[in-house]
Amino acid sequence: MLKASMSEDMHCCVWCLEKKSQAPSWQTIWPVSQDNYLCNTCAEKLVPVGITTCSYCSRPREKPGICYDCERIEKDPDWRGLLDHNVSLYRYNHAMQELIAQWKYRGDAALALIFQQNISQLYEKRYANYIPVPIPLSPQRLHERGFNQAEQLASWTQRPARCLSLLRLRQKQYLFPVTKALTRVLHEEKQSKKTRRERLAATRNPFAFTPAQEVSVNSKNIVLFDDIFTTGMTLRKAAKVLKEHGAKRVCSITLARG
Amino acid sequence: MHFCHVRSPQTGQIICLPESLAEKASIVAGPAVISELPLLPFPSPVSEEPPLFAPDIRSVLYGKELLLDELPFTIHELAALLQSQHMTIRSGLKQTENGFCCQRCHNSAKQFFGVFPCARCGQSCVYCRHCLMMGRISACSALFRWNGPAPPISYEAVCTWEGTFSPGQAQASRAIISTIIQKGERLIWAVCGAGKTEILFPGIEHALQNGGRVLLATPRTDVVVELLPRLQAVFPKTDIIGLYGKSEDKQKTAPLVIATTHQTMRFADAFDTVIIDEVDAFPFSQDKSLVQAVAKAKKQHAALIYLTATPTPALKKRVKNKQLPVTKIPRRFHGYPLPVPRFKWCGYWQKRLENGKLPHSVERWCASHIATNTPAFLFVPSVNVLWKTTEILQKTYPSVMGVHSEDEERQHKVAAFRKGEIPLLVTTTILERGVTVAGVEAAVFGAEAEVFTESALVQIAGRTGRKKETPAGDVVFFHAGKTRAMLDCRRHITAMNEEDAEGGKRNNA
Repeated sequence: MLKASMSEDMHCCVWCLEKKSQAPSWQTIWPVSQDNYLCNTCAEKLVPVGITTCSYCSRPREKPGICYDCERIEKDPDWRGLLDHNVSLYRYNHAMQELIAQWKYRGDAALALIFQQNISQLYEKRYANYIPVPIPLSPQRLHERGFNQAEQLASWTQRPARCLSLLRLRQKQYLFPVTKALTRVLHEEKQSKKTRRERLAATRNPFAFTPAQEVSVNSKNIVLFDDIFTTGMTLRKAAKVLKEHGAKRVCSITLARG
Repeated sequence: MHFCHVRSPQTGQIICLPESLAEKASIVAGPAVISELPLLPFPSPVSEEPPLFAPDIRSVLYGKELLLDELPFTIHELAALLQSQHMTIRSGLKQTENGFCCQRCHNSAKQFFGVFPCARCGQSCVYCRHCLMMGRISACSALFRWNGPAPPISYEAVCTWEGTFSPGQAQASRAIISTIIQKGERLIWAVCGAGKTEILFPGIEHALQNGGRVLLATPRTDVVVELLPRLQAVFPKTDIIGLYGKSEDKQKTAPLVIATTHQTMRFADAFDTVIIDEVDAFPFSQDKSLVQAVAKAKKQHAALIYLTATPTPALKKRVKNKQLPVTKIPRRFHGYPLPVPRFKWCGYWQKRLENGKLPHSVERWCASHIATNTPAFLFVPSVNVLWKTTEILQKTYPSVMGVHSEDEERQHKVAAFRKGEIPLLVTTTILERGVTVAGVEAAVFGAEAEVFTESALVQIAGRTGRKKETPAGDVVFFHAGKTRAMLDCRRHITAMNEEDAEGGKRNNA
């Protein structure tokens, strides 16, 4: 159970720890949107990727279509068609960098709460019949960090965002549990410490398939979860392993588009 | 990693060891998550010299309390020292009656503790979000402390400063030396521009020569960076380290340490003299974490010196009750009195600002300063007001600039202002301290706002007339209704000036 505060009242912003202004509105009486974890100042710092993005990788663009990098990769026979597409929530701006640094590197696990609502909404709306699979950490990294940020993001698929969507879900009857179908068998340097060229050149696949799971991957759709999409190599390598084991479609939800 | 309490075969004392190092037969409590074990008393220090390989560990850990993640050693390299009690372990979080208390930052407010499923201990783990910047302390983290004899440190100190003190400075510096000798507590209440840093030199020299470690704690990184070369120049033979977020000195030990509040929290039982600069300006000065960080960093008997121009009400109260001796320096080093602020009513300025106009009086003040080439600060209460005011002024005077705390070009703009390239700088309270610009005058626009406390206003007024050549300066508070803070500020300044005029009557309690 993740909590940002042990006190009962939620008057502080989860990120800056300042008191949120509590201007009364009609939501005070009828709280429609769920827990609001950020104060207005912090909420404004996170910029969504926008409406016109590359349809493969979610990179912000001026007109719809496919970006140059994706075009290149889709021509490469080794990488073509592995990852069907990626959806990112936010731009990887300065504020997002700081937030991720505080969350991942300083270990402020509770910051994952900020994305709870957006991720569960996105999952229900577009990926409700996909199996959520988090990108794993190596055991060393997991011990060092104490938690897997991708697993935290994937876990938000397990709670319906609103009462209305609860009703919708009941009709559909698709809700897969978070499935840890992958393990990381290669302990590498952090991706963030590598250049684009180094990332593309690293050909060894750090992921392996974990067979014993409640849900079989065979001919299923899968949605991968990770925090940042930069070149997409990590996600493609993970997708490759899953496709080798019979997965039908593999998409990904990432927090930030680097 | 889990921990146990073990009865030590050598001394019979109960000590805390990691599960992997404990012998099954001698376990008294545990193995468990360290915060769930009962509290142990502090072990008595070990006086035997540690084994040969220990000096590296000692130089990193001496006088500090660190997490295993912060130590460049594995638990197996530390095993022998832990068993011999040259190093001791205690829990990072202490369980209290109604929650937890962080043993590093002393946070015990419930809203600053998070909970997460921890992969290290496999349980729901509470962690402190207050001092997270320094690495996470959770219910399963252990703090390591050096418990053996001190490393050999050279306390050589020769002060090469060759200035002369004003009478007020001379008296304060004598008071500091006697406080250090008596290991007492003292407030040095010196007006802005009294030359506070210099008066510390003789005291620091004395403390070091007598083999005492000295900590100079200051609220901001900028100050550490600025003070380090200055002190190194004054004490060329002394090892000095500066500790702040990105400092490279963190693994070193030195007799003289300059540190930010956060870095102060890492120390334990280390200093014979602690000097706190700008005691009222510490982040979180409202809560007790600084007081407790300093209480932990200093030795049990140590001198504690507070240095400020604007003591907090809490300090003033202690002075008034004769619990805290005080030395005042009411006169600036150049001997001229402090400029007294004047008040100017400027109507309901918010509405005028909405319409894209400044109040006439403010506009006239800005215009006359730009026309006569007098550098001027215009302090505003918030970033929003800052944007609007700068925009309005830039229409007529394009070279006017605005700065705020998150402005990445802050340093450049201040430098340009010093050079005279920017005639008028609009700023939030960020520049209220530490900035010295020759011949500058200051105005506060919207002085009735809550952010302008008495101490903020005194500091702002203290920006003016700091150089000998231009000892006077205009300070105006443009307001829409006088506040208590404004009146207190004026009273504070006139009282200091009167005290000075009375020939330096100082109440040394």
